[in-house]
Amino acid sequence: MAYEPEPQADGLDDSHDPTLTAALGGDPDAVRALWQRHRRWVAGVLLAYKPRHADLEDLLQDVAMTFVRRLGDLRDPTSLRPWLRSVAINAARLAARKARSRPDLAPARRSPVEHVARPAGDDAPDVLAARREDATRLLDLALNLPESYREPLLLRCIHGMSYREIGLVVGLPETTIETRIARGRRMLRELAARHAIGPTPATEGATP
Amino acid sequence: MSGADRDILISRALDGEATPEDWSAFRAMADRDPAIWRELAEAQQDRAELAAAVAHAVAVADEVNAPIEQHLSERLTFRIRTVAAWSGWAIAAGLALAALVGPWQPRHGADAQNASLVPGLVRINSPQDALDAYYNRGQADGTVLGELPERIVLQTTPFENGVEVIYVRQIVERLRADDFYRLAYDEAGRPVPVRFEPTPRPTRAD
Repeated sequence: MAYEPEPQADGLDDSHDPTLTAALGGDPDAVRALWQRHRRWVAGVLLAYKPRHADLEDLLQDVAMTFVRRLGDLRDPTSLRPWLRSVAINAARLAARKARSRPDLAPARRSPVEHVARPAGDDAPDVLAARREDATRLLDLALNLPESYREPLLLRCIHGMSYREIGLVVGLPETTIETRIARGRRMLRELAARHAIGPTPATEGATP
Repeated sequence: MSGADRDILISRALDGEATPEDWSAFRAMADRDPAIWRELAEAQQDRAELAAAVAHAVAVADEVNAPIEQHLSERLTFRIRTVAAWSGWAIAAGLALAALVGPWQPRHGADAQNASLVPGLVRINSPQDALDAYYNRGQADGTVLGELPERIVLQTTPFENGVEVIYVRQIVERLRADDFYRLAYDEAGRPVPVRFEPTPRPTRAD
């Protein structure tokens, strides 16, 4: 019988989540539903930790495979998110180690979101193209922030992730997440100002 | 108010998390330093651009599904390999079984001329005949209990006017042994057997 995933009250209580319980019991449809629920933020974690050249989709495939293979070993349902995060970080770091151990055959170092920088078409308005360019460069700069600021800041950009949910993934209190996001934004604005991205900065009066 | 407090206030406003008290504090700050309004506007633009870039970058996630079928296929392959590793024993057991039950006759009046013949042992016309023999013998000695009605589909491929389906049949067997192993994976993703103590489990009827 096909599994019908039940909605969660707030999406955060894994200990009483029927989909997770069914997935841990080996129900393939529940495993599929659970992966679909979490894959976007997992991609966000990979984006935060992966080396620039590594392909996000390939890494996500690796994480999905580990998820399917090892989910049954998970004993504590509340540890799903931290476990999934650690799987993603390990996949990203493994890609970095592999990259260090072999010569870079790529003709040029590409931006992780190079495709975003391209205008939608020849007739795309200049303003729109400039904004896309700014967005790409801003993400590139965000990827240069320290890990502890970079990860929550990027996760916050994943639609629907609250401070609390990010805290559950990263394993930190909401207040810490809020502070890191605020500080990360400040650092990013300062970096953007140095690289002349976006609006002319008004850092006068702002404190670091 | 410190710079960190100022950053948090702006950040809360951006995320729609600012309380009425936060807005009061923000306005009071803006009275003293109107530049904070511009800071807020810049931060809003940064936030929107970064969110768009991240959303675009992670949109690929929607195309990546849980590879359930591949996993089941891998497990099946591992089990087949395990069986192959024990094939020497299986052949010996098959010979012993045949010696005990005697030459097996094809059912349904099948043409004996077309039957495969293992010299001096059994005649088999089809995989189903072989499976029937396995069931009969297994149920007689209590090692084969039956087959589950559900079949697990591994792959479907269009084939001429129909569809070719590769699937798993689930046969329930009884085994008595001193040691049990389950399939696990090491850090490199290689399958490894891990010894475990099975806990008594009631039957479905219980």
